[in-house]
Amino acid sequence: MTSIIRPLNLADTRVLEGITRVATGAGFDFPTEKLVSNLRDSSPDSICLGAFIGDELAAVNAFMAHEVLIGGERFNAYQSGWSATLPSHQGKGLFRSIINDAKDLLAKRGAPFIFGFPNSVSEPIFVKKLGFLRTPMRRVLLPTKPRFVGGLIVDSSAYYRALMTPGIVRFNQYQNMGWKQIEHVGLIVVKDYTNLLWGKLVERHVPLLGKRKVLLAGGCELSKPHLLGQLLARIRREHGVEFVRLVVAERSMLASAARWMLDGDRTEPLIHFPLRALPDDVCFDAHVGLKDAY
Amino acid sequence: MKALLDRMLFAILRILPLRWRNIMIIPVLHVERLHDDGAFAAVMEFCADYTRLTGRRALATVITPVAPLLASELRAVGFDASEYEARLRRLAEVADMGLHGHFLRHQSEAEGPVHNYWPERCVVREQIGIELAWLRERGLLPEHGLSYAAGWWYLDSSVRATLAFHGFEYDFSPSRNHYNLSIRAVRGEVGQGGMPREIWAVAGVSAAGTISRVPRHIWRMHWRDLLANRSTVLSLYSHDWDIDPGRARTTLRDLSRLGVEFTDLAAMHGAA
Repeated sequence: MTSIIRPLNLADTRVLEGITRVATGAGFDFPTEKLVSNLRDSSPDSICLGAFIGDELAAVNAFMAHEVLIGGERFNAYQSGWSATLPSHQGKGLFRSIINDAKDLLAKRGAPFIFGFPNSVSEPIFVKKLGFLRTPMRRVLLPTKPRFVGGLIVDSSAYYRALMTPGIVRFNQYQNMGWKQIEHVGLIVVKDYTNLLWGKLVERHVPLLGKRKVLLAGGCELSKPHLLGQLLARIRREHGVEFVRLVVAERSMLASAARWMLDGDRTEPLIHFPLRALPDDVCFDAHVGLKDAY
Repeated sequence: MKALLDRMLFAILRILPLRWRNIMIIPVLHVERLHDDGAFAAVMEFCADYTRLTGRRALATVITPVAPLLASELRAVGFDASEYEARLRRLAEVADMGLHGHFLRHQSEAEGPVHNYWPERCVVREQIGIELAWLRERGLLPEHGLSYAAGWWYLDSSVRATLAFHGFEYDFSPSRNHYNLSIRAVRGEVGQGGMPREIWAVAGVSAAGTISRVPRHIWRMHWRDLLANRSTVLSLYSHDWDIDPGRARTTLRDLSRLGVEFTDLAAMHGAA
């Protein structure tokens, strides 16, 4: 029997129950509230597609809208997530059908690309079978004291040059932050002269130093990169943060400007599928340091 | 100790055979909070002082109540936009007016700056058009010398293109101030045809103790001009909410003692 793909109405509680049924059947611990929050709080443009076999909802996939800026123009890019297929319908290509239909649907909406941060199970499917492109992640650990060390690690001149890279894709961190503040109480947000850093404060083991207060950064925007040291000093003063850990896409602004960083191979990579012609030198200023930030 | 060093340096600068009269100064105010009674009083006092002491008019670059940043601020504090407009009209009696650009990504949100990280062209172009129309409809702009000063010191090639598109004659955004290195982004375009003339900001107008630190800043940043006897127009900036009229008077007095010239839009237009 052929499948039909169509957007799901999340205002309908029966539809939500159906999604939860698919997710639970697929073995995921899907809290329905989290799904609803992801889709409603991320953006009013977020959607969820369902694959129906007859009247039965057999597979689902959500697409969260993220504001991005490319070449000075704003678009909605869509993050793929919440993928689930009922065991009885697995192996029928439903997930692939949803993604392929989404490519057409979202391209018609003007989206420049679909992206995601797949785990080790779904990454090969996205990359090898669905044509997504992979960008590895990098990690940067910044001490908040002394103030000048941040400036030693991150070259502000290089960051300024990265800001002017025509092909850079910028994610609206204020949008992500607003969404995640609804989902997670207690996120730390620091703003300093139009620079922004937000994330979750945890105690983490830092090599040679033992347990330290580390901010797992969910996102960072530096409009004035030469004032990074001041931003770090503020986050230390106001929240006692000793280190800031950022996980960013390779060739992102921070990755381009950091003089010292680590592989991010323990973190899911960024994948993307272009829905329109992207700049030749395209790179993504994506931050995934806070698990589930995206 | 620092004040003593300032005095000594000032004395040395007075003795040196430098052509201070080739330096022309225009104060450029970044007016953002006229709903604050103290800020409004201070900025009015400074503008009156500037005219009384120099015979010139200060330049007040303003955010209008149709800018999302100010509109949201006025809503938050419960200040009526028409009252804000009335204060702008009173300011226009004592100062020339220009535009001070602060841009947000969304009309309805009070945060999310359009800046180097998020240089959204359409927002800048559209908002500048709306704010200029608002000022023109009320007759608040001077006949000559359409002027701009960047909010958050945000300046890049797309902002400059927008200023050229809207016919701005002067751009008071470039600065070597600690908070503004974004000029690096446009340095290659300085002096390009069709772009507004750039007037560099040199220091805060209130940077004075018992003696002004402005001469020191001018010397540090523009010693080549002073030595080469080159005529240069520079701006001194301040927000309405952090101006100190007493200290600003000290700055004006000390610059006068050095022989610095003061200017305004009318004089600049006449000289052009």
